[in-house]
Amino acid sequence: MTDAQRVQHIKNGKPFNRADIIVYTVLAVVVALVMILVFGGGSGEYVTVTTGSGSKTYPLSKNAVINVESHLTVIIEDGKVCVRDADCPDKICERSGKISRSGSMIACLPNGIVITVTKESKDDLIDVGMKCPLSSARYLISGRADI
Amino acid sequence: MSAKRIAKDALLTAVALILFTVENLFPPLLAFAPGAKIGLSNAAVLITLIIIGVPDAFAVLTLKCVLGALVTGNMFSLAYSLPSSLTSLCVQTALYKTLFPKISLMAVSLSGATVFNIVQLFVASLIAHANMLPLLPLMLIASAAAGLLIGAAVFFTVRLLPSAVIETANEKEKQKEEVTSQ
Repeated sequence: MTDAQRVQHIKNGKPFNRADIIVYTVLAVVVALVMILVFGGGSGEYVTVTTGSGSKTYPLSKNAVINVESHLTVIIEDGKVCVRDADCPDKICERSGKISRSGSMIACLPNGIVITVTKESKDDLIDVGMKCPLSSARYLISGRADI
Repeated sequence: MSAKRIAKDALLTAVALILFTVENLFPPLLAFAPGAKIGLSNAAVLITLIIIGVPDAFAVLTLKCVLGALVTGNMFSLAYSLPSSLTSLCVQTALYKTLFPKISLMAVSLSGATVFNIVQLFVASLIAHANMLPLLPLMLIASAAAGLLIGAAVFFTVRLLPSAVIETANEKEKQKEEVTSQ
């Protein structure tokens, strides 16, 4: 079929076709499989913060306020994670809201920081409670705290 | 390549760039998926593919990405947009050239949108050194709607375009016919 015939086909044809259903079905199955792989994990146990210089893992069960390379603040509260005080222009990471399920993530691409919730910890745990016992309290007072 | 063809390419590049810039001015459409866009400028690229030709579509796409990065002042975004856009256009071209009358433009556009998102997340994962796959389902659902919309928009645009504007690879044959008939 030549290009001119294709254009003619557009001019005379319909915007959709019966065979499209095959394409849509294939794509829907792919999406469904990815969904099952990603969100079938249940609630998460650990938070991994990955930056350009490496990654650190924190337990989700302990409330914490983590300043990441002074670009943004990761807040762990009541088993949920969110980002505040980001210095990136788009603030997409802040608008991602609170996440807690295994596999879910918040990304701050301008700063190259990714926060993921996982079921198992891969890195050595940093005991937030031991290292910085006052972090939560300090956050309550000043609205911001560093570890 | 005729001057007419270059002029049309330039015009479509301008259209793509205008759509890209205007779209960037709007706030995110979906609150739960910030960064999700319709990708209106892809309509101009797909139209180029249909009414002019394959090399022209790739030229328009590359120019749109580079100039778009200049307009928004974010050259870093090129690393995300260029590889995914080019792969997406490769897939769309292949589907359009092989399966097209059987599958519609909407399906071609949807496939392109899907490939775009997969490649973009792959590139983002490489850049950020982290697995970004968890974002994929959400992005794919949003992009499916956008892809269908773009496909329908392209269909009706091509339909309304006068035949005189459409310059396909068969232009030369047509010119030959005209010469012989004269």
